[in-house]
Amino acid sequence: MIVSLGEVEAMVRKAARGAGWPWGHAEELGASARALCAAGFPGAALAAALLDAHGDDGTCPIRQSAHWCDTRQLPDASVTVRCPLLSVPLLATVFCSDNRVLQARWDGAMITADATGHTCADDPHRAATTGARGIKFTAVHHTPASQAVARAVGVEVQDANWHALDRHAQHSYVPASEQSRMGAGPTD
Amino acid sequence: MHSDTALRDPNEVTHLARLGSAHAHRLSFMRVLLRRLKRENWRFSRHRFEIDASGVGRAVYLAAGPERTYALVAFAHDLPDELRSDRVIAEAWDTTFCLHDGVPTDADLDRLAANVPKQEAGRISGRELSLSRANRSVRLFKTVIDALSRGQQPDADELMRVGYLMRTTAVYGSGKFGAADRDAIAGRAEFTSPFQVELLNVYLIRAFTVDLVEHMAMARGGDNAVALDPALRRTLGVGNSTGLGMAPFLVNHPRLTHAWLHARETALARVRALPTATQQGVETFVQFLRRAQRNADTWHSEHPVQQPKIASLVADLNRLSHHLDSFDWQIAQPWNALWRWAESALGLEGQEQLLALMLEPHGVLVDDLADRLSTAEPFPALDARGTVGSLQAFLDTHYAWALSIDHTSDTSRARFWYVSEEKLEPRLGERFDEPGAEREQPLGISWQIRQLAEALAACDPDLPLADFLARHPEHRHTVRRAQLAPQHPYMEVRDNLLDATMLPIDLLRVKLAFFGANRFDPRSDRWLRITMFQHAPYPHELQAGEADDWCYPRVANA
Repeated sequence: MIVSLGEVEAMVRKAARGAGWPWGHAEELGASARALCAAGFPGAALAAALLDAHGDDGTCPIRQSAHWCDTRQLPDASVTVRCPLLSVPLLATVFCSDNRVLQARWDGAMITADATGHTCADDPHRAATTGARGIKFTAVHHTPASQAVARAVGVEVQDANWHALDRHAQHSYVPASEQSRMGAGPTD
Repeated sequence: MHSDTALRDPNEVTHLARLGSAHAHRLSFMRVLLRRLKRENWRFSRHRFEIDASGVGRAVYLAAGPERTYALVAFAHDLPDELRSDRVIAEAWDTTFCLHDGVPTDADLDRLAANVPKQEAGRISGRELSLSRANRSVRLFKTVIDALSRGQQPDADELMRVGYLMRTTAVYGSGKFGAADRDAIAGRAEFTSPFQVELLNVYLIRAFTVDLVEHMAMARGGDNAVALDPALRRTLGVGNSTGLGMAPFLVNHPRLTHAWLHARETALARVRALPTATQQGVETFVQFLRRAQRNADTWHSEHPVQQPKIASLVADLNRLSHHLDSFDWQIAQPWNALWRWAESALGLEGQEQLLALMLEPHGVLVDDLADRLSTAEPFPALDARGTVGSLQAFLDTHYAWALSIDHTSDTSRARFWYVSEEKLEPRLGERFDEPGAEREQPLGISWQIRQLAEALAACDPDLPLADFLARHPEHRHTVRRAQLAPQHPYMEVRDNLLDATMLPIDLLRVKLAFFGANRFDPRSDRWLRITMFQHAPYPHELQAGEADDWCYPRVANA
């Protein structure tokens, strides 16, 4: 189905919340999925894959990236995170100041992102992996090209991925009751 | 140079009781829209009108600006009375609409016909900017058709009292149900101010509703039928039922909330800073006061909260009128003197109405602020470079209002906001009586700040904030939000949105006042009806007439 970027962000945020994530990380996953979709990557599918993988074994791309952003320090060594592409937009917001771009490498893929949200990969298929080891994030100096960022208007999301997100999101809603309908507003 | 000094303190401006007394003003979005449509000489046409005698079919209205054309696509249905409901959980409506980007082709119309009537259950595309629906005011709709079909005009008092032929029950924009994202159109000059897409949609709906009744009257009465008198037509707007769905918006968009209030407060400060008042300015002000008095006199509500507010407004405006009888306009900064008087002499309704009235003569001075009503809302980066102690000091400075709220009693946390599984709409629950509080939406800002402060107090003040957030990710969203506050002092509703006595209609009122609505009519503590564009010129009247003189009813000699 074709969805708007706003729908991607809202659905992923609700799905993360429904999966038990704290609001702060749910917001970050939503924003990351949106930014990836805007740049032409399967952000919603990656978010669905991440949320479907149970448990936090220290490889969550959002939680790890948030901590690297908070400490203003990228890991020196290579790391293991699931769905590593989801890390890139978050890291780019912090580590791409002063004419730097973020580079991420894994399994032969190299992804480059700048502070404007422009993200490109030399191998989009490898970039969208759900599991990789030996991931290296670096911020490198780069004179930005004055190219316009092409942003998608609507993005194609596989029904299965959307439904997977929706299943999680359902856990963030409160089932209807007569009492809740009374609180809904207009009654004729 | 404008003076932007003397902005009112956010502690004064952003508590619920004052926000819930807000009035429409020159920077309200409907007025911004019509000023632009006239200034830019927009052209309007009824491109298609394929509707049968029973009012069923489709129509397309075009609005052509200097660079782009937009189309209101309307699908009119014959809805049995028993299916008509204003609730968001309704599944059928008298008329459904979308605003299309450009002139729709036959293929577009077929695609839209298969989706727009389904509303939330359908899908629109990036070529659409807005999705909406409206129900007839059953009584007035029939009355007007009956009268016109017999060659008579409908009763003017009844038209004025009801105020609309149809009321919208939802107007969606910004990427909802597949529509274009706000980002995709935010760069267009015509949409730089907020909600211009949605309000253009409603403005065209208004023209459609009158065309529809005239068409149906003509079909019934043939040669005997007459068109609606233009003066009577002006008294009709578009009704709107607004429930809790709109309430979380202001909390969820703190930077926008700040932009709206800051623009309005800047306008007020500019007028107060004027060294003198012109005779023409005073005359205009007095004329608008008379019209506001008439508006208040004809503002009826059966709601026990609203009735004393209207009575207070009527009394305040009378007091203001008497005060002006002896007011010396020759003193220095006379507008500021008037405002200072009002701060102690008038209630909240009167003060906020006075604010709107003081802007009326000063379009040249304040209308440019319409360009400051929007703001980009990129995902905010969190700055965790401080310590627990520095965040505590930050909260003491910027969230003293929240920390001063007593959250120890059950009544202070009696409510919780949640999203209902049914129709996915925001609702308000009773925390200690209803299930679901564990799925609460993060709208109780003062309570979240309190919880954050307590968690900070349990830590070493020298602990790096990054470490605190790693241990307490549950406070991450609160910190991110709070860090916006220094640059956006008007962004928070400085009240307890979980309190047992909180009135959601206060949140609805301030938002709808910024839209440009007046004569708010609450039907409970959590939904209300308004009329939009009542007394405004119709699209075909914009070029020949005044585009910005309709917010209050006219009175003799005014």
